[in-house]
Amino acid sequence: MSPWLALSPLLVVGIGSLTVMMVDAFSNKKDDLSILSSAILIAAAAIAGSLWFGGLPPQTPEILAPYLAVDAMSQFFNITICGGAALCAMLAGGYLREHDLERGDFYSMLMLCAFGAMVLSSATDLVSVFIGLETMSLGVYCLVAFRRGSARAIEGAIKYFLLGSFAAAILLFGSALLYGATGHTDLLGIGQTIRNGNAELGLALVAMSMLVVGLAFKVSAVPFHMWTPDAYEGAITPATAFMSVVVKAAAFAVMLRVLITCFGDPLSAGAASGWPPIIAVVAVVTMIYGNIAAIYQSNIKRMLAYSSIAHAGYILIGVVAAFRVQNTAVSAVLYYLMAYTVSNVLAFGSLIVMGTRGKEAVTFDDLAGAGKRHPMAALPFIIGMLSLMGFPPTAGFFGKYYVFNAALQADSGMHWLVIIAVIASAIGAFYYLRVIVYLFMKDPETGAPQAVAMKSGYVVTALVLSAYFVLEMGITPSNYLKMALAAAAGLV
Amino acid sequence: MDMILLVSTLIKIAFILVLILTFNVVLLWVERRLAAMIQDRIGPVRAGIPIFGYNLALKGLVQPVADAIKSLWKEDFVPPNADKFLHAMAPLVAVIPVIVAFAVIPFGSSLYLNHAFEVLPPEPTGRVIPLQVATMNFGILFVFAMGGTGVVGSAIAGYSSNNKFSLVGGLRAAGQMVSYEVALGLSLVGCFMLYNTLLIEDMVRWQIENVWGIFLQPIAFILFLTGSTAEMKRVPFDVPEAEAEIVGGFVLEYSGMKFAIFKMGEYFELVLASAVIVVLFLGGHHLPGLTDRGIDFLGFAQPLWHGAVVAIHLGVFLVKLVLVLWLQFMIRWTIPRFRYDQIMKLSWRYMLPLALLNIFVTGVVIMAL
Amino acid sequence: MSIAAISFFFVCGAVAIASALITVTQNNPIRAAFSLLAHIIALAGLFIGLQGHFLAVIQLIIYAGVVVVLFIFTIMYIGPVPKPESAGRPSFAKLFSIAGMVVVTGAVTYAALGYSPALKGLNTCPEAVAECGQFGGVEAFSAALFRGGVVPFELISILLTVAVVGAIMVARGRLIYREKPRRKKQELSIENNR
Repeated sequence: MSPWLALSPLLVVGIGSLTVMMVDAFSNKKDDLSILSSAILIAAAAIAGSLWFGGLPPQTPEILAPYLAVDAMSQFFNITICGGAALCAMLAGGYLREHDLERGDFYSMLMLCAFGAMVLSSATDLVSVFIGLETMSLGVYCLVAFRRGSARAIEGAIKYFLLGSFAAAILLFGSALLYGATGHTDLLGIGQTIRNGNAELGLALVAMSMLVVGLAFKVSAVPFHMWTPDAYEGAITPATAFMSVVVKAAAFAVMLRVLITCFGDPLSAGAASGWPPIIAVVAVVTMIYGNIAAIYQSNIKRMLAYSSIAHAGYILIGVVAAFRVQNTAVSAVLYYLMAYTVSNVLAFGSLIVMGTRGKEAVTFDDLAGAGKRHPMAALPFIIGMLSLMGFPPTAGFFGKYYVFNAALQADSGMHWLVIIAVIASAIGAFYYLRVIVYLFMKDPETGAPQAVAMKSGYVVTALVLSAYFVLEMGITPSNYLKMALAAAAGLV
Repeated sequence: MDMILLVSTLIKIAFILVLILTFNVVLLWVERRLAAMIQDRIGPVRAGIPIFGYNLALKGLVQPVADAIKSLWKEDFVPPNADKFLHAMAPLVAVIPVIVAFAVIPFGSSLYLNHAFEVLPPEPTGRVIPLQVATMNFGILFVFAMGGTGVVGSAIAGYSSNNKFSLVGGLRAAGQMVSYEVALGLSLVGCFMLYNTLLIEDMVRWQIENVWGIFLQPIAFILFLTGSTAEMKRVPFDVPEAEAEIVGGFVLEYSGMKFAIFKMGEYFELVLASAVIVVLFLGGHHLPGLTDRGIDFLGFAQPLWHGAVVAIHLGVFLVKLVLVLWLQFMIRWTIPRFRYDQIMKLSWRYMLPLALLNIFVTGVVIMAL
Repeated sequence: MSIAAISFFFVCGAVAIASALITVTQNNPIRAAFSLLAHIIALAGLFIGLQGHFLAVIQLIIYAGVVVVLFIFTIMYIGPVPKPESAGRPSFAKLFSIAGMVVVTGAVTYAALGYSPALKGLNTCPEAVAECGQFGGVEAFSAALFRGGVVPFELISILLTVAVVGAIMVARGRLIYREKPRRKKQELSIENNR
């Protein structure tokens, strides 16, 4: 297979973003950039899908081989990332126009971020991991700072930028130490060196913990979560949705690759593969802290930010389980990420649809009675919340189910992890249901600002698509699980 | 390290130091006289050497010496609340890298010690002494590295003086020099591709064997001339010290010898940039009609001793250097100062795309041939 | 290694460590930037000792010539910073960062002391071997960059595009708000409503 063909999803997104930029620069009519960019992203997803199902190359083209994987897992993430980014671009199409923020560079930046995320999720070398991470992160910092006039956006962006640069520096330091410990920068070579016992294990242990810190920051796991609520709140809602789905998916992809390919060998024992206990502790703290903090939020976006922290905790359980039952656990994580992508787009999309200019839904109080006034606009909100909560016929339920199941299969020592996770999700139900309670069972106080639903074809399309996937993944989960299993098999 | 290498290196270093210091003195006078002529004045003509009550004026040639003596005896004033350490370091940071950068400039052809007093045989043997202090395998990049380090000096000078004008001057200097470094570096990439090397001595050899660089890379020459003028902060790019608006900019709070060091550094940079132009675009020490073995011009052949040829080469290099310096002076005194936005626009909007285009066209032509 | 090379290494290493410590402990930002410059030059010296000539020059051009200058530019642009209170007990953050520094340094040193098997995997180049003259030279560097590593090289071009577009995006946003003050007022009213 020629390298061009193998790279085609990346090329489509990269060239597409430059095209969007040029159209923005030279065209007078700028209304349709949303359609253009989401069409390009969906095309990239379709190309990734046809690459995958049309037969992947038995081996990656030589020039790509050490740096980027062209395997089932990378195509899976290409589809998830491009799909999520396309939905976010559609949401932006409605949101930016409604709030008079229409500027074309948002779309090209969104696509460049998606490019970085795709590179990150298929990176098989510490060099390309870092490049992908920086491409994605730099873009996301700018997306958060998109609304320059707002102090909150700037606060969120600065916090995210400073902490993110710090985390990237730690990750880079860890990579350098890992190179020193093994003499390789490609993940496979590192894994083999550790397995053969040629690595300097003490140095590899320090490197591993630094890599875990850097990656935990990107998935916003406690205690590296401080930026999340501020950045989520400061960014415009479509950008928040993008951050919560695409960035998280790519970060988990690279986490799986690095941890399993480099440090996945249980026989190398001891020091260098000591990540499961660390991640287990991080997962517990993340779930508990995320869920409890979410209860105390009055701002819906901050609530969703803490909810996304909590979800990172659930997914981390799957990552821990991957140490023992690799295929089951990795496929569960992949399924969870896909389900989380559509559910979260649905949740943020419903938040967008619940607000016209000057009459946005920002706090729970704004939502009071909105379900009665705009029942059709409230419907996706209900589905999204139920899915995030993990209610049976939705995608979120099966996501949690598979992850917990994998943890139960992995090790009897992990039962307590699952018990804590179940308790945490029960706590989570409180604040998700609170949204629904406010929508339908509360009446607004007199004189208080009320959210008014917006009308936008773009947003409605995105909502319908994501609601469809949320429900379908909940009703026929086995199809998607099969996909995830096939993708997980690609991870060596 | 053997004795001959050590001694020859020390001699070369001493030669370069003497050369640039002499140039400094002479250039100061030449520049002032030239400026005076262009502006229809007379310039410094009176300072001379008093001998037995008679003033040996030499057309004012000793004026710079008088200036230097004056600088030495002046009070070295450091403004109150200035950062004394950085204030003292800044001139050194500005000037030392420039002097070090001369290490890679070849100012003549290689000298074969065994054959100094005979015509060079086809197969020369024995010890070779290149007329260049150090051959490094990154060649010309060393000049850029050193030039880049020198930028910090003027920025720090602006900050440490505790003066608003100085601060503005330092800011302007930092912004301008970083901007022009990009265009300056890219302007030479075409030459690297053409000569297929980064070693300056190989570049000179290529030009001797083929043709002077200026004929093949005229755009690079113009870009480099412009860019290096901006990098030196000379008129028309002297907004960092624009006397009329910010009273000297980052050198405002300097006096005495520190000020003199800054000014000397400026002339060292001027000589360095001209030397780079000579070796990169004007064939270095090459004189058409003079080969390694003597004169061979339009059928007229006259073998010469190798030592004489090397001496002529050295002279040719110096003459070219003086011509380029003359060109720089003419530019300096004919063109008025640009505005700061014009300077930035020139760098980013015109020079950078032009340099990239030059690289592209050079690449295409090299591939096509 | 000759005595000259070893002493060169120790001088450069000592300067690098000392200037790095000054950089992180100095209260005056411009002095910190200045010692960062010293650190970078010392690092370039270390690279030369490791036969990485090209890397050393690039280090000087990019970091000393551009990055430090931009640091200094930014510090000057922001203006004089009020002095942080130096008296009183050291803050938690300071203690924490010192502890972290000590732990990481100790761990790396401890791990590196028993450094033997990993050396086999590294591309070390003894000075005696003839090809090693080109090890850190321009040819070797560009071959590694443009042949083996062409994929990351091209990916970096996208990274640079993101940086440029992002800078313009963030900088231009301010202009747009300034040109239309009415929008800004409404923007604020949304925020104030909360």
